[in-house]
Amino acid sequence: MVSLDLTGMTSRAINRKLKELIATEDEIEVVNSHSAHNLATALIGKGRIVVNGSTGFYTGGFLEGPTLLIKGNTGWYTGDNMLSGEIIVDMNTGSNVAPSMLGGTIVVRGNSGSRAGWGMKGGNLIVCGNVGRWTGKMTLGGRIIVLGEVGEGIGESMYNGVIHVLDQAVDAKLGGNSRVVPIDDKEKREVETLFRKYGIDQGVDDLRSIVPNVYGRHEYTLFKPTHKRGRQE
Amino acid sequence: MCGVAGIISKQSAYLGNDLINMLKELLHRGKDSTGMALYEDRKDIQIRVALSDTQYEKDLKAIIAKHATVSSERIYQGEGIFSFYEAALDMAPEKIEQLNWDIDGHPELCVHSLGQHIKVYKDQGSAEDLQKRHEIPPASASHGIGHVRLATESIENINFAHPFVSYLYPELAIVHNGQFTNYFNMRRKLENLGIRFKTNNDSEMAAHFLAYQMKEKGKDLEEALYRGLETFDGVFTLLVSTENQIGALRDRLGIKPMLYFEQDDHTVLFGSEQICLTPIVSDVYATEMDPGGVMTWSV
Repeated sequence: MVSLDLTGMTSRAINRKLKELIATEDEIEVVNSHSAHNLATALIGKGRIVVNGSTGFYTGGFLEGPTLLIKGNTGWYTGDNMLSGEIIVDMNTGSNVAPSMLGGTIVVRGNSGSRAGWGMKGGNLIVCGNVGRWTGKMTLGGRIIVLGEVGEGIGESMYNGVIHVLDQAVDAKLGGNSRVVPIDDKEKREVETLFRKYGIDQGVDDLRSIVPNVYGRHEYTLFKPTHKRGRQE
Repeated sequence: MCGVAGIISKQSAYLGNDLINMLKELLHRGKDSTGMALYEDRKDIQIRVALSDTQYEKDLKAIIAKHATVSSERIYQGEGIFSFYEAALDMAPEKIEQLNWDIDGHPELCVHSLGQHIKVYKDQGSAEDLQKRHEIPPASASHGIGHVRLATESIENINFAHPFVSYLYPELAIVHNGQFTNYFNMRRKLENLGIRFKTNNDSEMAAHFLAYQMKEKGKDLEEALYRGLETFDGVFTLLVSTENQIGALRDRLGIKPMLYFEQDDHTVLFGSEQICLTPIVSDVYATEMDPGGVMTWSV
């Protein structure tokens, strides 16, 4: 394990150093994080980064592979466009956590702000505390789990994917074009596995799912012309 | 981008310092200028005016002499070319509007604040520059709002910096993060009502609009803000203060951020970002204001 002190470093220098270290080290400890912005952005690798403190905006954006454990808070757009790996935040995140996320897992042990999981396309987002308004707006895939209270307009204009919530008052706060359905057994098993993996002490039986409404034609037939070009006489 | 901050703290003897410290944390949201409006517990009427050159000092004093007598004064150089005149005045409160109107009529003078409680400091540069150059007292004030500016809509000139005040309601100050897209229509409407604009900045329109609603239409701050929500178009997060209230207004899409944290009955903090609350409360969960929301707090 190596230790990296961020005092006086610019975000570009931090990321260059992390990139260099992740190639050889299994675990990197970051101290004096001073709410640094863009920490571990576009980092590719397999190691584990432990941040003893809080980080700023765009923490772990485009992350591909590493595990990022932040022992404090993070700013907005945590895990922006994340591809794979893990981000675990022990305290709160700012708004717009996991926007356009494609894969991997983000766990927020505290609360998050509004627009959590905006336009998410894949992966898992677990918020153990409360979330603000417009959670999971326009999501295209993936799974969001919220164990605390949710804000207004949850699941607004969802296309695909699922949001599991514990908040019993969710029906009154539902966004347009989405509905609340009971959680099915396959989902229960998957969520249980996630909870066990991240040490979240919570049963899955009270969870309910928010899924998009389905309208119109959902099966398409490709147009295959059968006529043959004839010779003109 | 711009950033806003505000504080209500009835017991703080260092409110001026606290607000400056909050604005220092917002430096990354704008470095063009920094400003703050403080509401002090004082007995006299005080004035702050920006002069583009010290040669206009005699013009300013001639205008003031028509309405008031000066009990104490100072004049000093700001960060840039502008000089600042600050004085305690002995005058009838009902003449404040006329004095404000007369000074703003001079092209080289601009009233930054004139009233019984309000005091506006604004200058180019960072919060640290403002604090050093203007010798802002630690100030036993009850509340205040502040702003860091990244100029998008009009020129970099300290008279175009926030907070904006209106001669119609001298104790009102506003700070704005965003852009008004119906500025020219609104300005034309307000000018037709006889309101005179001092700058070309879109945020000045909001100050005059709210002051007009409160002074001429007799509305309270909350009603005026609701009227603003219906009327303003564009992107806006506003913090508005009067001698006994702070109000907040956010547009319906919630484009620009606004957080608040109510510590107890005596302390409320406002800011664009969580980090600007940290000089006062180190680790709290601040609430994000609702889009399309109007909120007011009494001091």
